Amino acid sequence: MTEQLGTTTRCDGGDLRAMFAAAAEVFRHNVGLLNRLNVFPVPDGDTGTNMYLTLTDTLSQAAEDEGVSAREVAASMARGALWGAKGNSGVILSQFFKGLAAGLEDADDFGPAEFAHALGLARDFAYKAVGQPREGTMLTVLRYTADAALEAEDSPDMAALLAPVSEAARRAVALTPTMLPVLRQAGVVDAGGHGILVILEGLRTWAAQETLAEEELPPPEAVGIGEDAGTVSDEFLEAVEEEEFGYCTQLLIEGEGLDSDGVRERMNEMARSTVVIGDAAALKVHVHAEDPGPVISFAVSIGTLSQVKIESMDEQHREFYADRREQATPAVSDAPAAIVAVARGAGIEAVFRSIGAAGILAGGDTMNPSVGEILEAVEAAPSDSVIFLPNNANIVQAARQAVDITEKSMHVVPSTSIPQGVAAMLEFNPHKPTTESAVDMEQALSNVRTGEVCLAVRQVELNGVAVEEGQVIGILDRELVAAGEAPRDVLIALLERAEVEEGHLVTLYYGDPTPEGEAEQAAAAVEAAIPGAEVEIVDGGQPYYHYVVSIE
Amino acid sequence: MAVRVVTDSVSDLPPALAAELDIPIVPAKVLFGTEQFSDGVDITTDEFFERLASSPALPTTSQPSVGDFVQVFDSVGQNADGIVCVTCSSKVSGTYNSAVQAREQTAASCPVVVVDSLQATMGEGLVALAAARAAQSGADVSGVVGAAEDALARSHMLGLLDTLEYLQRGGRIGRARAMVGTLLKVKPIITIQEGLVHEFGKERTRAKGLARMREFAEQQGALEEASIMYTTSDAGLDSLIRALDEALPDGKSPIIARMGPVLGVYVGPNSVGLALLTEPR
Repeated sequence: MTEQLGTTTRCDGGDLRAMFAAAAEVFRHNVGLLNRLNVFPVPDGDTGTNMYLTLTDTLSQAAEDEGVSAREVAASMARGALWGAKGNSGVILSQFFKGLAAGLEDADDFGPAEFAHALGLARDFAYKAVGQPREGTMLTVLRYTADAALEAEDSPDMAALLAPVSEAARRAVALTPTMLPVLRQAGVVDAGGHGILVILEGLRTWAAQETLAEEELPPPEAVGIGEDAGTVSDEFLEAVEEEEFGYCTQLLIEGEGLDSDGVRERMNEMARSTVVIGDAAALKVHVHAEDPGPVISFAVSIGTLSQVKIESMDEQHREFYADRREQATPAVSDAPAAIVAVARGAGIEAVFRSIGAAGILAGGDTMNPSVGEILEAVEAAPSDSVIFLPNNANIVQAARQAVDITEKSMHVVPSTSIPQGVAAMLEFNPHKPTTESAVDMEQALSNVRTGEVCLAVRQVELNGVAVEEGQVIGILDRELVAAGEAPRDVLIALLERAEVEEGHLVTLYYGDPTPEGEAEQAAAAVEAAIPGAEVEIVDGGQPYYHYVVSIE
Repeated sequence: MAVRVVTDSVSDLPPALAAELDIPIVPAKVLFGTEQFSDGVDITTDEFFERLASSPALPTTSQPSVGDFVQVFDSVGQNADGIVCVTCSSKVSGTYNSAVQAREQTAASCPVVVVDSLQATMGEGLVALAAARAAQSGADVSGVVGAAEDALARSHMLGLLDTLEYLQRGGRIGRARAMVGTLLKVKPIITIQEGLVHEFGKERTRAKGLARMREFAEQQGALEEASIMYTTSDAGLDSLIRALDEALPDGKSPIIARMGPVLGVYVGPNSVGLALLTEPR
């Protein structure tokens, strides 16, 4: 630091490193808290662990030379973050660092204005990292902080900049349940969002020269939970107004005496980004509408419609990035692709190998591989063309990051469970072009439903199912559907909920918590409860889960 | 006199239909150890599958001998202007070779032409059927050969297997080799392309496999002929039959055929086949 206490105006590379080291130290005390801020009471993708490990990898790469520039430190941290990113939250965090580095790329040193600008880019990069950005997540918190930073860019020093920024993050975290119904239901704020708040608090504490907190930073009181859950706050409305979701709707209205100003006014009530051009006989309309229905209905009421074009903007966004990825893909070789699957448990690994997986990357819940680990597995696969099966929702983003880095032609088939991964593998045809196989495999993901039976790690009430800590719970396609005392009963309740009937095949991958012989008895019980259903049992050997269930 | 069509028992042409169209069937051989049977002559399909289930060792098959073909050509040739013999794929069986050699040795004075259908089971049967129809309508040898060759280019075959085990043990797995053994129950779907067995896909249940076959049939557009084959069980085939009825011309129904011992050795019990002859373009 080049100034005295409390008046930190210019920061160099060493300061940049020190401020994030402080953030990581504060974060370390919050890992457990963040892991507990989980929608599902299961030991799944632990946000706290993932973000912390991403942060430590980020710092381990930070340049430490004497008098190093902010530019160099930011760039080296971004590289470390990219390599170390674990889980979806880690991936978004790595993009935050990438944006920060982009913002500081000309900076030997920096002050509040440059840092505010960098936070703006960090927000932009984070949004771009996600195929379908969702509000009520880390992204919302990054957006609030960037807005607050840019507003306060004239601050005299870093402490003055970071105080309102941290405060904005706190407000955003409190709002997350109003934006994401699943959080509201579970009665929690978004874990990744709170993780960002923890990091910003760390930065603020460092800038203000305060002692680093060694206690957990309690999550802010959620807005919209509890008594006034039904009301919508102004802040919430403001938040959603800035979203760019919905449908890009274009149409041509032909009629008589059309009033373009009147039409524009009506369209503005129903949609955003309204453009209405034309004359009394024909009007061209272009709007962004949450729901294109009323737009069309109104247009029909005043004239004849033609050239109607409705496109999901989420879709456009996804296509845009998919296109970019494709352009970056090197030439595809003729050799059949090698499949690399993420799996955990000796039996499940053996199943993947038996149906043709060339490589297995150990991982899954509570153990999300980093982008670097995914890359290593892809590079080690015996083909220049690799199809990657994440088999876990929290590994998909990291896998997509790896696509941009690897020299190989890598396709991610976004499987979010072991049964989905198996279903996809069965579609793989080595005689087809890899891209075609990958499309077939992705389509197969919806052919199978996934059930999970495990112990609840905390008390919760979700979807009308009340769960006590230590009870057995049943999850069907990521939705809590059953709870009880005996795994077998919960399994049957789950299958009934899945409407399993005659002719269906139920595959039970039984895991470590299932005692010897119990799976056979459970299978018999299922066959008795659902006559005509075929049950197959496989020793999966997975941790935590009594059963991972494939239903098809 | 007319041109006569001959085929082998791998075609799985139903005996009644073969009799109606006057198609002699040259039997392949099935061996349980040293015990030899002629397909469809001294062992029925049901008897075969009963023995298959109880036999410790997998039976083997062998092509009809040259002599078997000579006998049939000699007998048919007495009252024919020509013989067109449709055989199963030369790439998976020596049947075609036997027939070609028999052509050199037969006493029949009429021309004998052997056509490699590049197919098996009713994929081959439908080719023989098209040839026999042409012969019935009075075509000469080159006309009947032309009809057979035209049909084999339009013939498609899928087989839904209960397990890959028999195909693997029987060694006729061809390019379907990639469907290696698995720790899970998997129902492989195979096809024959350019005379070789290929993987078409895999499903985990019979119902899904049948649905996949139906989908395939529906994608082929209008059909000239269709056949459903099975080894031991015709359960659950109704919706596939209905879909084929839709795609066939009025008055035509899919031909239901049993897959005989030769196919049975390689595909095993509970297998289902689908053969289609698409309309000429």
